[in-house]
Amino acid sequence: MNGLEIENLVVRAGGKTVVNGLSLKVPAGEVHAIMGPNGTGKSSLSKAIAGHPEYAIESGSIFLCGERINGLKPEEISRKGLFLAFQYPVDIPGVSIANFIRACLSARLPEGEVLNVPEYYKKLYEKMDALKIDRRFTSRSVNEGFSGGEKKRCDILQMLMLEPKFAVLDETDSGLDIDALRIVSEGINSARGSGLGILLITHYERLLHYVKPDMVHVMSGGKIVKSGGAGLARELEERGYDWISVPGGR
Amino acid sequence: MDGGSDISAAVNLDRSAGDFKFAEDYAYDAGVGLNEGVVRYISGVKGEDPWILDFRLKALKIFESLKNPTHWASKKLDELDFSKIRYYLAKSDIKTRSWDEVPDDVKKTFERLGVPQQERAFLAGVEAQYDSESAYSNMKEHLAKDGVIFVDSTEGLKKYPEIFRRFFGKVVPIADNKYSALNSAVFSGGSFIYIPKGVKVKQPLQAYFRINAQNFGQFERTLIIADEGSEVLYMEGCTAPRFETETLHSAVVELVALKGAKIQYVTVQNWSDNVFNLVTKRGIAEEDAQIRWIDCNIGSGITMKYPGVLLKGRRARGEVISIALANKRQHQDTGAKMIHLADETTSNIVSKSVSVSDGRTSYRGLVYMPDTVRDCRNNTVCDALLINEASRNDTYPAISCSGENNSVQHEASVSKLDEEQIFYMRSRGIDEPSAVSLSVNGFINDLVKEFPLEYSVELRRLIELQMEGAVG
Amino acid sequence: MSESLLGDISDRAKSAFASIPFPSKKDGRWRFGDVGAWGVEALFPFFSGKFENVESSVCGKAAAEIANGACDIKIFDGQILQADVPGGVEVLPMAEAARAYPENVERFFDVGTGKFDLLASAKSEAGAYIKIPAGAEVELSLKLASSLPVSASSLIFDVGEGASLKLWRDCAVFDRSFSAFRTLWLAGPKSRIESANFKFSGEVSRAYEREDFKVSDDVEIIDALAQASPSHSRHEKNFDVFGRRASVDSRAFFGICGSITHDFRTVQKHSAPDSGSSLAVRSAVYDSASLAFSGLIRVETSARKTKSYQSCRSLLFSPSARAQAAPELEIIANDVECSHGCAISKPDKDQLFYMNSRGLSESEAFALIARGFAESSFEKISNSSRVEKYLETAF
Repeated sequence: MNGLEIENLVVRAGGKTVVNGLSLKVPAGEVHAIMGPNGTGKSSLSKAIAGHPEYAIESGSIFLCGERINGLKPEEISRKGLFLAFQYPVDIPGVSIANFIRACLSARLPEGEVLNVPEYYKKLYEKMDALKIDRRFTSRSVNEGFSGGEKKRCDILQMLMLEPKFAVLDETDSGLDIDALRIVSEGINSARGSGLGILLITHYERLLHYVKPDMVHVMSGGKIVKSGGAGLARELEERGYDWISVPGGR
Repeated sequence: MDGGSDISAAVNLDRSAGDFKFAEDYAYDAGVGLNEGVVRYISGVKGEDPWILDFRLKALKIFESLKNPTHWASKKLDELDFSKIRYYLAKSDIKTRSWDEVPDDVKKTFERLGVPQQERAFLAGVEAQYDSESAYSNMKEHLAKDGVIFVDSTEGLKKYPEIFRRFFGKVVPIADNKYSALNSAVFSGGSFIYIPKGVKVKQPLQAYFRINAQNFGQFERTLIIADEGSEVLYMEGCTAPRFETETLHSAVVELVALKGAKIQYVTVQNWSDNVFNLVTKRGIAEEDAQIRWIDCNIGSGITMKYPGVLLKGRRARGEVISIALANKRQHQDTGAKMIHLADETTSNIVSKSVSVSDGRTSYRGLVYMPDTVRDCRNNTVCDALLINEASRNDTYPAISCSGENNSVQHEASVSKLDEEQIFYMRSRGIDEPSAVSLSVNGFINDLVKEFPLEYSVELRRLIELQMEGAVG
Repeated sequence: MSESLLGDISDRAKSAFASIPFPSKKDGRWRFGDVGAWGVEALFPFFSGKFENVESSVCGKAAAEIANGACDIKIFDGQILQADVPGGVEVLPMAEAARAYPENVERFFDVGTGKFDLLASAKSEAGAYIKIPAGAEVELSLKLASSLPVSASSLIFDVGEGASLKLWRDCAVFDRSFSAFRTLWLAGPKSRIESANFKFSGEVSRAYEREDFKVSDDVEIIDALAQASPSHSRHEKNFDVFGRRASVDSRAFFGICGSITHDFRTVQKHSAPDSGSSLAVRSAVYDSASLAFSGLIRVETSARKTKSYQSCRSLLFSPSARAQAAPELEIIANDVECSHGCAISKPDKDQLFYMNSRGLSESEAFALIARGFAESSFEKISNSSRVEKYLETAF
């Protein structure tokens, strides 16, 4: 299957089981949202998919476009076409955005090949124009001293430049302001339709006002406890999470 | 840094655009070990005036009377056997080796840095003399038109005593420390520079452009005098590793910035790791003068170097920008000294150090403001990054402040590589060693920017090279 | 046996004292210190007991008054005069402690190898061993006084597993007295210690004190020190954090006037993982007085995930006031977060103007700023009314 497929995933981190037998299919070109109360393993799931060394996959499988990716290094998973937008992007002082994205693209080239620098800048500026990002932005250090909105812009720009096959967007942070919401949703909507599959992790339904997901999954106790159409999100907003009974959950 | 084309242009520097050789052709040898005879011999070979010989002999006595400062410095200093060192090396005696004997990692570094073939042979010790096309004479002519004097220590003291004698040995007194005394006894080579009043030297004066055995001597002596209102930038050393058989290098550098003058002194030190690099560097800044030490230490087994500025005139400013990288078995013991001796003087110290493998970096600093001065400021920031478990960092600042409206601020931090930062980069497809290298380059980026462009590009590559094999 | 233990300690200390030179400029341990004030000439009157024409100072009288106030435990010149303590808590004279806990007593004296530590060792019988049983929650007030020309007091606090001790301590050094105090804190696993230490001394006195904290697993230490005396002092604090998950918060305030030097030396040594320590020094320096501070953070290879901080902030209220600091780091583990900061300046002009504009004179404003410093040093001490009372006396 093209897209992301997760089977019976169990993940341990910090001595606890954080994902507990989760299964999920997100076909290419679709946007799925995972929602759920705080501390239910949503961000852990995103880190496990991306291969974070502190999130150990105990059992189960993750397939990206039919290829099993669990056990691979994060850089290998990334080069196979997975993109993770972080809930809290770290800053990298002293490394400019332009140089960083360039290094990311260079890392994808076969040994001995060199990135065409003028073409790189041409493409970078095109994407920036599309996102209405000022040229000066790229000479700033990655995420250093960025506002919430700027961090999102930086992430979306990276996503557009790296052209992944599948993106996991961890937007659980309740602190997303209107500006950040707009950037993320525009980024998603513009990437949509190009065949990119998206898994959108969020806590609040607010983001789903801007992005209409094909499917909504509710996560609790480390697994998916309910799935439905876009209407499920509205129902969650009205009724909260308590009405969903969680077998063996917290 | 932005724009790829700038970078490639900078990397393909035309290094042949600078050259000059010393006319002197020394074919003398002072033998091994140090005594009065050796000092007299060196002075004799150079045909020095009696006052210089007296200076050397006095220094020898002081050197002999001083103990190694192992009560605070590395005990390894005691491994130096002064009786086995050759204090004056004639050109014809410099041992050469064949290219095959040059270690592979040194060759690889040359390759990666894009060091021209001719220079590689010299730097690797295959050739005793460095020959390159000439263009330096043009530069020299140009400088001479403005009255700039740029000669070596012997010529400086012989031809221009009226200019250089006044400050020679005054900024760094013989007895400052054991190694300044040693240098004072046996110095040869180095640069003596005088910039006349109001002359602003546009291009950097580079020791690199005059590489020869003499210049890279073990006991260089440098004295730069910038007369009132003049400006100069001096660059010393090079990023390519210097493969050496001699183990002790002990230089003295004295800077004098007269009223309103500005001196920037840039050093990139990359001696091979068998070298003890024990250097004394100090400047005097008169009224409204500025002295900046921009220093990067990557090589040597042990470096001990604490560039200082005596802020003697009102509103004088001193600065030390320092990068230290200690890899396997290396100890970079560096720092800064700021002595505020006049009102409204300001100083700034920024030090960043990176320890890899079992490398050790130490910062030693001194900031002194007595109650006789007022309205002085100092700001010091020392950050250290530890890459591996065996890495070590020490920070030993000493601050003494009194007087009306003086203020000192010191901040230091030590941290390890940020794992989340590394994961972030890896999740974008960058492998772990490259991510570490990128992170380290980022850490020192704001200081690398202070170096002239051609150095900064090479520095970045050198650091990438140093980080290879640091993780994984 | 125990008599001979203390006797041996005393004999060894006496001969060692003679062989260790008085502090000199070259002695790295005394860097920045006023070695003249601790030299043989300056100390001769104390050692000989002969003072000529020395009047008792106001501060000396105040110190004596404080020493005579009510408390739970009172120790004068190493003699336990009073010990009204809750059941289970033991207060033993050193001679008895040497019988009951010989290992701890010997360890205590073994640690004190400095010149003036040996004064305490030479009078090994002086002082008390205070044992807080496991699990107990105890609040104590203690008065420690020094009136002899050379007076020594050794204190060992042996705090059992899971116990909690809140100690309120007044140290009074009378005029014509040189005090050598030593304190050892044996903090058992999961114990909690809150120590507030106020030091008073007369103008013609010397106050030397060394404190050693042995910090085991899961220990919490809240420590605060205040010294605002008109005579030279030296205080050494060593935190030996060999336990995991321990936390140390140590603060000190110095108000320094006249032409004296308060000398403060600290070591935060970490040899076990997951622990933290934070040390904050604040000083307000007047006249031609000075602060000499040197503090080392040392993190051994074994101490992964250590978080250790240190800060030193000095305000100079006069042009000839001086602050000297040597905040040092020695980090031999890589997975750590360590930092130090140091700032020396005169009071902020804008702050001063702001206060002036609210009707405060310069001296009132200065006092307020200095008091703010002192207050921040006692933030963590739970007995706030006592802190308040002390601050009222001091300012």
